[in-house]
Amino acid sequence: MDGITLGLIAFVALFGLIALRVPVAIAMGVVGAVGGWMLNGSASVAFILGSVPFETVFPYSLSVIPLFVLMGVFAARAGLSKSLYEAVHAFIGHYRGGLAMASIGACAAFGAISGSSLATAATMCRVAMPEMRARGYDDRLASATIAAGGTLGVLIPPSVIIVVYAILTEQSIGKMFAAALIPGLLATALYMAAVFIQCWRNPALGPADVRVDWSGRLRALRNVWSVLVLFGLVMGGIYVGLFSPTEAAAIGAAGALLLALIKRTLTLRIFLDCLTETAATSGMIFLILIGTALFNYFVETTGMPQMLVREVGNLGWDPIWILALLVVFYIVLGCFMDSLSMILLTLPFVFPLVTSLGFDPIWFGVIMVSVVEVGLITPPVGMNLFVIMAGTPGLRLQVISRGVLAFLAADVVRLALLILIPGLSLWLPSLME
Amino acid sequence: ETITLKISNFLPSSHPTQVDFIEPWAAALKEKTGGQVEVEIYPAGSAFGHVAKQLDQVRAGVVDIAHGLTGIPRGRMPRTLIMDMPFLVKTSDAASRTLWDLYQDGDIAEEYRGLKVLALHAHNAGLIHTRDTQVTTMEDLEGLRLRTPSQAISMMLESLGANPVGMPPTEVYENLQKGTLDGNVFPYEAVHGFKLYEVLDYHLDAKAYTTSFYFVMNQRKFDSLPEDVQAAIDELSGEALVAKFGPWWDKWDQAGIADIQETGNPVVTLTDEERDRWRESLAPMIDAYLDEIEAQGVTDARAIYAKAQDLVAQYED
Amino acid sequence: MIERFNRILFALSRWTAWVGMVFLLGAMAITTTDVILRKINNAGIFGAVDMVQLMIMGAAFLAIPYGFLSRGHVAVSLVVDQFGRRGTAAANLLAALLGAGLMGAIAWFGLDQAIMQAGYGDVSLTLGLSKTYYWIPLLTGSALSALVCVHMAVEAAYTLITGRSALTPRPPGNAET
Ligand code: NA
Ligand code: NA
Repeated sequence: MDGITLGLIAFVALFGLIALRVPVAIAMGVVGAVGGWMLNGSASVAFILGSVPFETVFPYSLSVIPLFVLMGVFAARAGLSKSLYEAVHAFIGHYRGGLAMASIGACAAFGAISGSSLATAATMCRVAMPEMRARGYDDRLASATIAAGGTLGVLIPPSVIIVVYAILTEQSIGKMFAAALIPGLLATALYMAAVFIQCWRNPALGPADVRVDWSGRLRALRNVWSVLVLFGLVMGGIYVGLFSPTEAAAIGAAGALLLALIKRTLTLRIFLDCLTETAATSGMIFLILIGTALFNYFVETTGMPQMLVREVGNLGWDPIWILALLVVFYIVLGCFMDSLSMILLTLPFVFPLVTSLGFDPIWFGVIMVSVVEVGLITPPVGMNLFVIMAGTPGLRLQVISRGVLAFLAADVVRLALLILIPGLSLWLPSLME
Repeated sequence: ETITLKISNFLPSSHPTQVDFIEPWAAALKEKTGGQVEVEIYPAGSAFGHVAKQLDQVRAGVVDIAHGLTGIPRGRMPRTLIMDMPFLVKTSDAASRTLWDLYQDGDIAEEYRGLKVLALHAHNAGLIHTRDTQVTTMEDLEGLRLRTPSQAISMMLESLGANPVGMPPTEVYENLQKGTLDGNVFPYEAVHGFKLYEVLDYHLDAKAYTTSFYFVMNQRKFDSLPEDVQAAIDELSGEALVAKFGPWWDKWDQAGIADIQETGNPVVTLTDEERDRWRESLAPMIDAYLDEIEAQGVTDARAIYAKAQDLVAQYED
Repeated sequence: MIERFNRILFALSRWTAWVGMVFLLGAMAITTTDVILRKINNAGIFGAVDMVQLMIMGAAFLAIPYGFLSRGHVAVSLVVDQFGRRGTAAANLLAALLGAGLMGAIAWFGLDQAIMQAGYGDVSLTLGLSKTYYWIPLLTGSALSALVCVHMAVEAAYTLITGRSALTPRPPGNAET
């Protein structure tokens, strides 16, 4: 059997296994190993199975992943999320939908120290959902706001997904972070606009809260300086070249641990919980990286990526239409898959294609991360939706699904802007030359 | 029926080893066999591009042919690495031919068991590149953190007073920029390839060392090929191929030389007098290195070193 | 008897994950100290990279078994949610068997590579640490993961055959992206 045919069969088998709830990492690893065996022989596969898991985890640059996870976990436990929410609320809570906008703002600020969307959504859900319910906010708006705001955990650097993209495509992590910053802020603004417009059309969704006076605002601000310091240290340090992203992650984790200790929020029990949570997340990410690496060994030897590049090139389409097609493809795929798996599964095909079309790899990285993050809030399979539902008693999928429509519209606007104005992504990294 | 050979290279597809050497080699093989042989190339960043895996994967038959760096993994090929000893050789041509003679005569052959060796080569003697601190004498090296490519060169730098730092070549640029490295040792070619001229200030042409590479095939795979294909591979490899590396490395270095010229940064050539002083002070280090590999079971290390010196003298004449 | 085995396996995975996280804290401490020392007196910790790589190998591979036990590894349950108890058990059995096979193969063939590298005397780049140290967490973590998967396969098979669910206490899963 030739490589292409085998590759196509392998893809069908892969999606079959994933549909049967085999963990994505295991499905990719097994299909990669079996496919590699049929295509390249048993000696080859024995060598790959023995050496690839080691070489996947071994590179020094990968230490950045568990360290950013650790930083986010400590930051959540230090009570930073609650202080952030209160600070933003003190300023805009008295507007219609103000609590929802405050949740978006707090998600963005928390995203600046957390590398993960799900962690951001779960953390802010604990903080903001009870508040909004207590003030008479409609569940539809409240739950969807936090689900959408959670994606800012990845869109605003630092971000584990951006790190994975940068490592796999050999781009500078520092430049990728810089590139994602303005698009992340744009997403924040557009989500707030989505809340504003919804509440303007239907005031019952999110009634206004009482205005907080300036002394109250200053008091709330005083509790969040530590977040600003930590973000400034980590991102500023990378940006001005004080240290590498790997080192920044370690310093950020140590800083968040220090904050938790200073705020006296860390008992031994909570400390062990932090470690357990970090272990579960890191183990999950590393296993996906290993599964993907095994799958990619097989895919590369089938010759499929080269063929795809060749065939799409032969179509003779304008590159921008191919890009638009890719975006639609990811949004559809995102209805059923999680973002990390989507990136890892498609990158071996899509990246050579995109670079052959002459697109900037950093710019495309921002687009790709943005578009796979949309998948977190598209039903039926949206991880952020599930996280909010798990944390909110009595919330049904239909309710939150209806609520996210406005935010999906905001996402479409943002994607269009990012594609049409590459400077939004490329201006900041260009200053780092 | 077409035969497909997988070739892996630890360097990126834009690197001249791929553009000038491996791709034309593959094309020539296809032509000589009348299209019977197809070649797939796996460069750095691809499934088989890992620098530390080249030797293992070609031995295991995962790829059929591999181009690798002799010094990585550290200490695997102590006999061949005698070529990397400081101040042994100045030109790629002499180094590559010497390596090939040592291989043909059986001095280093046992390190290539299970492999059909197509070529061995080494780059033109490399330079010491620094930022901030200009190096012209041995004493200037004191305390500088320099990136090192192999164990022999680590020992050389240490005994010259510098602090060797081991790291992948791809990370050198960033670390120079941040100031975690004060410099590195590289041939001109890498100064171009990794854009290092942008972050370096001084270049010292010390002709101090070289780095060896291998281009090898899985022996079982070779034996399984039809005779005419074997003959074509034989024709395209061995001495005929080894002879090309001197001119190739000269050409590849030109890009780096041009880059440095454009920056206007000074390139200082080590005076003969200073070079002798360095060489003398390194004699104990060379002894220690030979002792170490003798202890590892390479009992004829000193004989190989002496023979390499003779061959180099003959070729550099 | 089986219940006791379950409890031991659960405790083992959790403790292994904690040991891995101690390694992660170690990597954090070494990197931070290295940066601070470098800024203070321009000389960091010798061989910091070698040590951090070792600690990350520990953190990653020792955390993976816990991910299996807590069902923390990302999976798509859309289709299986429509199945009955036996259908779900069949899907679980398939996932557990494939997981056991893959993780077992990684441990098995990894051992070959580890032995080969030990034979060559391979060491880390700067400190010259034996590569065997780097292999130990990989072999431990993948073998333990395979064991956890076997356990899950037995449970799923029990449900598939008897139609009753095997009641093992589970830690809360927290898959993240
Ligand atoms: Na973030
Ligand atoms: Na989705």
